[in-house]
Amino acid sequence: MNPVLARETKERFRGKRAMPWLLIVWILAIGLIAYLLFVAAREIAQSQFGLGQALASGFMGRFLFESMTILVVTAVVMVVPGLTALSIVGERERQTFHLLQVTQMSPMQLVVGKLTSSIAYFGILVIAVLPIIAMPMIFGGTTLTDVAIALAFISLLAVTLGSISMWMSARAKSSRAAVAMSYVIAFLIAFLSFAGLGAEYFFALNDQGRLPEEGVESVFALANPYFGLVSAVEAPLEVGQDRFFASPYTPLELHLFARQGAGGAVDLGVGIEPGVIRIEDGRQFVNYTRPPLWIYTVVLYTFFTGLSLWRATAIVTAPATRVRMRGGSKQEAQTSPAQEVDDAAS
Amino acid sequence: MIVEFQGVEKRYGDVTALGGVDLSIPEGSITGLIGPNGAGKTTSMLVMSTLLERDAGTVKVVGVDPQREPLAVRRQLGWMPDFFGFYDSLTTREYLDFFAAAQRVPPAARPAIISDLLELVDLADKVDSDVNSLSRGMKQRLSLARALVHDPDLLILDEPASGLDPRARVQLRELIAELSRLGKTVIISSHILAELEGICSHLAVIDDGVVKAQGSMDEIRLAAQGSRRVAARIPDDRVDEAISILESGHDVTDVAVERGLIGFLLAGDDRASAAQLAGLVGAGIPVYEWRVEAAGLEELFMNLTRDEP
Repeated sequence: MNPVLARETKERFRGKRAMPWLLIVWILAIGLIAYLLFVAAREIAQSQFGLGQALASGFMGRFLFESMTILVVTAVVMVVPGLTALSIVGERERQTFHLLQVTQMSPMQLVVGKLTSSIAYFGILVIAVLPIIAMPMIFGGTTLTDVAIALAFISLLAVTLGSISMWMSARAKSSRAAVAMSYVIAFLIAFLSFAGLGAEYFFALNDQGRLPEEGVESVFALANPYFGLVSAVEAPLEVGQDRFFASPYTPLELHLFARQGAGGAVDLGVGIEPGVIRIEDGRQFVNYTRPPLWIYTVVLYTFFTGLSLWRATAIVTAPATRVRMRGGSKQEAQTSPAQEVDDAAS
Repeated sequence: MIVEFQGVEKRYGDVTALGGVDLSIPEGSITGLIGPNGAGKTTSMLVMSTLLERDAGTVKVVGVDPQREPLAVRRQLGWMPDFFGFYDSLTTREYLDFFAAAQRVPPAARPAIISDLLELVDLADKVDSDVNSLSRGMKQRLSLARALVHDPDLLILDEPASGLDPRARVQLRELIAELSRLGKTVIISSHILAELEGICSHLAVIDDGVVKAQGSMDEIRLAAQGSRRVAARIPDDRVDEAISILESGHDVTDVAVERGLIGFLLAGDDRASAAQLAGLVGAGIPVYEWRVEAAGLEELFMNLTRDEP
């Protein structure tokens, strides 16, 4: 077992921020949210649409599944950078970084150990609420495949954001800077990309420009984890009344339909050009005019992960052209040319 | 030689940290690295320890270039910096176990090694204590145990006595002597020159990024013995006369009277000392005591690192 992973796992179960307490709070919070979503789904299904019990159950299952997966993606964006950003800069601040560098562990072992420990920690949080996430399967409307795809995508997102945060942690001079940079990048990818997409639509509509369904790909949506998740789970895109109202995926699906030239499908076939939709076994599916969005997301995330791990490894590799020492107890360490230059650089 | 530097240079922008260091450290020695702040001691140690790249020159540590084969050096190198690096919530046993794992010590061998090391550094009764609860001296000894966890041949100790109380310093000194008896080569830097004097077999004086002198303690003393401190006891009523005789020569400087003794720095060897004594006796001044002290490290250090005119 990687020594860094073994040590950090041990540390996480001790001290003030001990994991058992966090787990209890986390499970209670997710359980409460799931219950509130269940109540909301029941109200929508039975009151607003007046569906029968069987249909209502399917709708409720789907509603809960979609809500829970969106929630977990948001949790990844909010939690993983915080868990990972301190990993390497924290070693520097504890003055253990150079001690690790002169051991026989390779730089890659160090980085992977740190990343695995942070991701594993989040993984335990996800596993703890897995029964709640899988609960919608009881109601119908969702399958084990849907749950597996969602979990695979969420895992990829966690590894990607963890790797980026690891890179930031390796290059940052303080834990504050590492956390700030990690969250800025995570929020850019997850939230600010919505603003970018909105701006694209705004300018396209106002300048009589080309809308996505007319052949322009929105780059902002490609790395967005919410679009990636919905695209992966909802592949192939199916046109169906029970999916299209009051579901957390609906606003995201609007763009996915539009970029396939099937924006009209949202209006239940009104204005759809012939050939846009095909019918199989009585169900309507969108004919893809371009690869599904999740493929782009997976490729981009894999690239981000590789780049980040490569850069983080390069930074922690010794010998280096400069050694950054912080808080040395001796005067020479504080006044040596190396220190002076490094301080000046910082 | 277990460590060999030839013309090693390191620059940080316009600042020269090492300006052509030539250094040879014999195997099995305890070599003291002394020099004023910013002289290049820590930079030299970082280059040896596989942490810092040099700009020019050649370096061999345990026979290999630490820049090209850092892993080969790390297998035989124990590095103890001047700071403590500890993790929260780990006991001394867990702390050493982690570094033993990082140094690829087989799991089955670790318990015995950790037990022996804690015995060696006199922390056996602290095996299950939280590292953060240890005193500074104990932490320093634990750091030394960490550096030894993979049984390296070469130990690099950067200011190990810094911040320790006198008792802890004595313990550390005994420990280093014990490590030397076990066959380890120890390189130790310190500002507390008296600490080095009592323990080192060899010395290297670094100043302004170059090695000013190196060799065994005796060789260094001989090389640096430009002046020796002399103390003379003479009758109180002849002190002024004696001082004027001493100061009339070119060999004597820094004359002072303290607690009934005339103390001065004498440039030259035993013949110069005898000549001064003869001058006083020849003038009819009774000399009750004439004591020539070998130059201590402090004086050697001052002589070797004094500012050039």
